[in-house]
Amino acid sequence: MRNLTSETENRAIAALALLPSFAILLVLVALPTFSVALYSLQDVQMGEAAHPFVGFENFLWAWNYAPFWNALNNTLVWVFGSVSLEMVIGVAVALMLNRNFVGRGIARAVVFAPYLIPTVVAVLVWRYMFHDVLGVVNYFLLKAGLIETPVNWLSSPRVAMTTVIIVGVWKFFPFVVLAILGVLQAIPQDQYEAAKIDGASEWQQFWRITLPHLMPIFLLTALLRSIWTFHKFDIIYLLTGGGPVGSTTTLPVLVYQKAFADFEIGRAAALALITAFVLTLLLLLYFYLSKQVEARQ
Amino acid sequence: MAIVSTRLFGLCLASALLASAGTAMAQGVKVVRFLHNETDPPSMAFFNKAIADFERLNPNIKIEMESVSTDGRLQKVTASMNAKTMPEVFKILAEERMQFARKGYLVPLDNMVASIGANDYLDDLIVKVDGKIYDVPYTINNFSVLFYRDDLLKAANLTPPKNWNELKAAAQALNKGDVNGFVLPAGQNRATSLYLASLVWSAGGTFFDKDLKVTFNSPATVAALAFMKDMAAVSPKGIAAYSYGDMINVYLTGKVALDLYAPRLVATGYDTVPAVATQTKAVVMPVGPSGHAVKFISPNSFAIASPAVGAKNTAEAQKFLEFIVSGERLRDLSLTVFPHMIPPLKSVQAMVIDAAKDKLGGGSNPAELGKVSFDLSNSMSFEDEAGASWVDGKLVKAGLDNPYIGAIVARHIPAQVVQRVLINGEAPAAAAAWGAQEMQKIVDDLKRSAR
Amino acid sequence: MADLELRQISKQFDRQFAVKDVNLHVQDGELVVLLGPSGCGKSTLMRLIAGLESPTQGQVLIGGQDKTPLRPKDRNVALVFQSYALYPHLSIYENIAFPLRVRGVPSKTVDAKVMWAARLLDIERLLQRKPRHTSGGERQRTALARSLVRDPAVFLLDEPLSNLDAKMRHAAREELRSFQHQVKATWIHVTHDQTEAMGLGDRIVVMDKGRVRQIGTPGEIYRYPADTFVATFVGSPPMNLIAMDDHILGFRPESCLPTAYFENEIDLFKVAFRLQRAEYLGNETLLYAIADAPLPSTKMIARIPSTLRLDVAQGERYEFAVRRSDLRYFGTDELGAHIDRHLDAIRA
Repeated sequence: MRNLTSETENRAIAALALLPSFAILLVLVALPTFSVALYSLQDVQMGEAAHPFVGFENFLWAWNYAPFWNALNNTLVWVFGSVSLEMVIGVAVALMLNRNFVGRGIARAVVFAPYLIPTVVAVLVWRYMFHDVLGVVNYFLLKAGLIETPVNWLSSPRVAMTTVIIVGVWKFFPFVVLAILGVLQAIPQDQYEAAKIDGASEWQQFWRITLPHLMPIFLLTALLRSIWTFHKFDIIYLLTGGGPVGSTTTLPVLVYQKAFADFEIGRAAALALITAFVLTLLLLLYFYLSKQVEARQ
Repeated sequence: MAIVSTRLFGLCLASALLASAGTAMAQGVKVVRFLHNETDPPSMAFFNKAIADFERLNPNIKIEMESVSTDGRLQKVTASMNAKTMPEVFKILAEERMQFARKGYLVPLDNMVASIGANDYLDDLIVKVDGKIYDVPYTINNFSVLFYRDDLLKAANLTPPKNWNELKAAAQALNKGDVNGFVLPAGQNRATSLYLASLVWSAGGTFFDKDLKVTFNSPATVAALAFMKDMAAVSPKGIAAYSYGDMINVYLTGKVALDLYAPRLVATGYDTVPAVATQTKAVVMPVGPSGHAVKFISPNSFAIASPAVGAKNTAEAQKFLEFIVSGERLRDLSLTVFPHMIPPLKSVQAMVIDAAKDKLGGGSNPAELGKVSFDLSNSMSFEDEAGASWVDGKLVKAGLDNPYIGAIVARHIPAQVVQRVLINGEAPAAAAAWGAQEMQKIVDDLKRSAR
Repeated sequence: MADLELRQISKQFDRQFAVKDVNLHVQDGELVVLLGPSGCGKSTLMRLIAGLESPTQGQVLIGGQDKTPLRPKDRNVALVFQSYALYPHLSIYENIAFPLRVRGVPSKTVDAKVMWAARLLDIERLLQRKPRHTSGGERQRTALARSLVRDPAVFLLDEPLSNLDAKMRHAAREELRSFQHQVKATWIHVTHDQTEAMGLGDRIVVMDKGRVRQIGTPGEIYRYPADTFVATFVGSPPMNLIAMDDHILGFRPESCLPTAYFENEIDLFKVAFRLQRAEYLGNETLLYAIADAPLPSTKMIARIPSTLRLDVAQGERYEFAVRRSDLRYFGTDELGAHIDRHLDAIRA
């Protein structure tokens, strides 16, 4: 009899301890998500009191809305372009930082700097740097003779996405460096020595020892970066506002524009849900692929 | 003994506090919240001083000022209205007044305008909604002054252009080396929309006719777009990403010869790059194919929010508002960015031109620049352009309320039309048709939800 | 297989000498043990032979050719690490195959060689497993197989038995020796365990603080240690060292027996001591004592096999003896080198 009481007591205490976190999650995550789901089924305009129920009309509207498909395409380009570059550069820099050389401490600090600078500050500075007439990027490129006429980094629909990717990669590749460096330093040195003695070249050592050790963290980092890049709003919005002519409008930017510039909350909510759905599909694809890779290992 | 006296002490303290609180409430220090977007340092200095002066004269009123960026203003206002936390006095644009007034978000200001003197206001400036006045202008911006580099024109033996053809020719002639002949806005923002509007009007067209039908798809629009395309060819390539500030900055690098823009250019220039500013002269906007030039002017107004959206001390707010938009305060406000802030009161205009003698570094003729900038003849804005026409060489407005234009401009439809032509290379006719279509969609949407 | 020669090898790290003036010639097919305490430089020497470090001075010759400037992969040596350094993500088969795959050897040849090595080391049934699913001994054999498939000129093994538990070590020692004989490998074996060294090596290189103290067969090293370090490092319990006036006298504990045992032998040296403690170990008894006059009071140990009946009591004084031919003399300086005092001291 005594045991039973303490069992229930334990459960009660456990529940009580979890209550604050549960409450926070409920208020900050569950309720807003539910609200958005509700809005997506209603005709909600900012400033209008009435929210008439319209069923799936908002989703149908999204399906026929050309800028939505444009945004979807842009999002995929943005995510794939950014993350692949971040991973390659991140791994390369991590490999370099893993060696001992004079000034390594300073090199590490410099590498991590972009990640530590507040996004807003960094992006605004980049915006000035990429200005076609006033910016230093064009200035130095022209001076170095690498280009003949100034490049329209922010104003050409063909170039703008590249510009945005450059800034995104610059800001977040240090995260990849950090993750990879940790694993690199945990690889036992004698495996490399054994491989050296067995006749493996630098490249073979990388391919056959480093990479297999890195693979799990590599995939995980790529996944995390993909998710976060998918949702990234501030870099694109501050750099180009989604322009010119929608060439850098990704799904999050489109949702923002619909909600807070056009004040069509219902439609924006539908777009937001679709965005979440697309991301979920991508995640499933990722898990499927990574299972394949692991199986082969 | 000790316990008793502690209790007694506590009781005394509590009652003293309650009493003082009660007295405070009885005295009633009223707080008036004030939202604006004139964030440049001279304007901020002006407001701080004006507030200090007002509070000295009215010790029971306290003003809490909040400033916001131009681009962020509408969002802040809309969000505050939704949340019913609107500040008492706030900046409002003409195209927003009707919507807000009709929803009951604004307090009528007829008494205040009468007190200032309705006749002292420039013609057509005070607009009534359903017979009442809901906003009062504190400054007017003229976006259609043609600035030019006198040294560059003289060196090329050119005279200031009087019509579009001359403007195009001059810009093309001056577009060499690293100097651009012209610069115009092409970003997805209000600047681009209003630019297109003034050109469409100067080509003889309007966005809406007198029956409030969309007439955007017209030969005038096509002509205006074609003209912008030609002028973009002699402008910096980055215009698609330019904001208000970028246009000024680029001109001030000295790499632009002609600039149809707002007089803030000159005010900023004299502060930062006098070398370029002293070479800059101004003339009236060149006429378009219709034989006329229609300027885009933007009256900036303040309105007072109603208790329905959270405003509280509206009577005190009116007192404050009257204080800052008239008399010497209006003169001082207009002088903070001369000649960009045009006072809407005739009496104050004279005061300003008079006091401006030592503005602009005394260099080039401030009075002359002031006169060109203050010339508001044949001018329109978004919300009063519907059905405008020409009678005996004078622009006559139809005086219609256009409930659709606010949403159209907020969504940057005219700017998107410009971008389609200038960046995507779409044919002006096709872009104009698209623009009209989008505008019609919004009109239909608004009509539907109004039912 | 080939012979290995080290000429005047020195290695400096910052200011410290990890290895100084090492000269060594290992014959083709010989098993040489590098023996010494931790930090003596034996591992560094091994790495120098492998090419993982470059000597500050000196040369490494394999098969008569100077390999000093060559990288490890060009020296054709095989190194078995103390931790075995197997690749955790590869199967045992692929671990063994690694050196061949890396050199682009065709699959058929790879398979033949891997199977041959696996058979030799009796790990055929493990080939599909990953290293983490094998025991310590099996991993060692895998590491050996991996070295074997390359037909190296020299095998280097770094403390291969330290990772095994005590029971396994005996059997493993046997297996290693028979493996070495079978393959006729030139074999450098690094260890700090002197029993292991004595049991395995054709010759032993005793090292301390980067220097070679003595090179010799187990017998030479045990019976004729070159200095006090070798004398005390090799042999358990260590050789007794007694500081005399101008030299150090040394004799092994098992040489010190009751005088009666020696019967009529002449040429005996008397050793008197007071017994502190007797330790019965089953096969022998160790007597911990303090030497008595005429010898200076020094701690010493006598080792009596159990076949010899002996009754001793703590605190008693006893007179034992050591054959003069079993006495050793060392200098009193830091090196403590052996002094050749006796005409009939023979080097075997």
